[in-house]
Amino acid sequence: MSRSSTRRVPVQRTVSRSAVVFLGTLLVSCATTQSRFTPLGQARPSRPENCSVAILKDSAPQKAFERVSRLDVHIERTGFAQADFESAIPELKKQACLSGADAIIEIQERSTGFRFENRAYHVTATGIKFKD
Amino acid sequence: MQGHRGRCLVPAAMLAISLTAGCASIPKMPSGAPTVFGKPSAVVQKAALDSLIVAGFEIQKTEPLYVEGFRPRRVGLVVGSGGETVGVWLEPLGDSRTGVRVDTAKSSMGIVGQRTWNADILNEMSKSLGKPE
Repeated sequence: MSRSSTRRVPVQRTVSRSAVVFLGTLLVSCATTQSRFTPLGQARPSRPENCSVAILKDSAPQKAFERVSRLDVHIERTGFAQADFESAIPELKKQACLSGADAIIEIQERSTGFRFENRAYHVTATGIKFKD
Repeated sequence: MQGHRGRCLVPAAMLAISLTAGCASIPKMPSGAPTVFGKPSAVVQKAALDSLIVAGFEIQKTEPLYVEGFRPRRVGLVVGSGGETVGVWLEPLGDSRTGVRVDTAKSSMGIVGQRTWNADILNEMSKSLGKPE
């Protein structure tokens, strides 16, 4: 009797752990990120990958600038998690640095869902370089 | 042991065939009338590239009158997604008009999670090019 009860406890633990893993999978699920930049005009030298980049989402640049790149970040997730702008910022900044940009403007967001389990979030922006 | 190996060989061979066939999806140019945009082909080509990128495609071919993209496969809870190849053909109709034909090729591997992207690509293109004629 005592033997069967000691067996049951690990089984229950296994079941509950599996349930936690399953629920975690549903909530977090799988995410893939694609990012790229396209030079606008003459390509600029890259800046260090973790350089400082200003994100001007709701404000206009206060200095003269020129557009140097189109930036695209595409995040697709399966499950119930939805990507948002915050989750795209690291890749946006990385691509801005690679394209030689000082700041990001003209941010456009698109969210789509398809096949009930897939959700896509795409952000397009323009990388700018301030004129000295 | 040998019988067990033999039993595994058939599914393994089927998997290998389906994986190989899964990579061989090539879009074919539709024969119907093209969708016509009132822009030069260079402008339309750029819009086609942009629309593929927005839909999550990786650009594989970029030619003046043809663009091709592949959607990476993504693991899903049930069926996943990706694996489609989309081809966009451009046909200059004079200096300021361009005909566009789009085709989605689905691979046999993971076909349940794949979809036809033709309308999405044309819709995205029309956002920057204006409504087609």
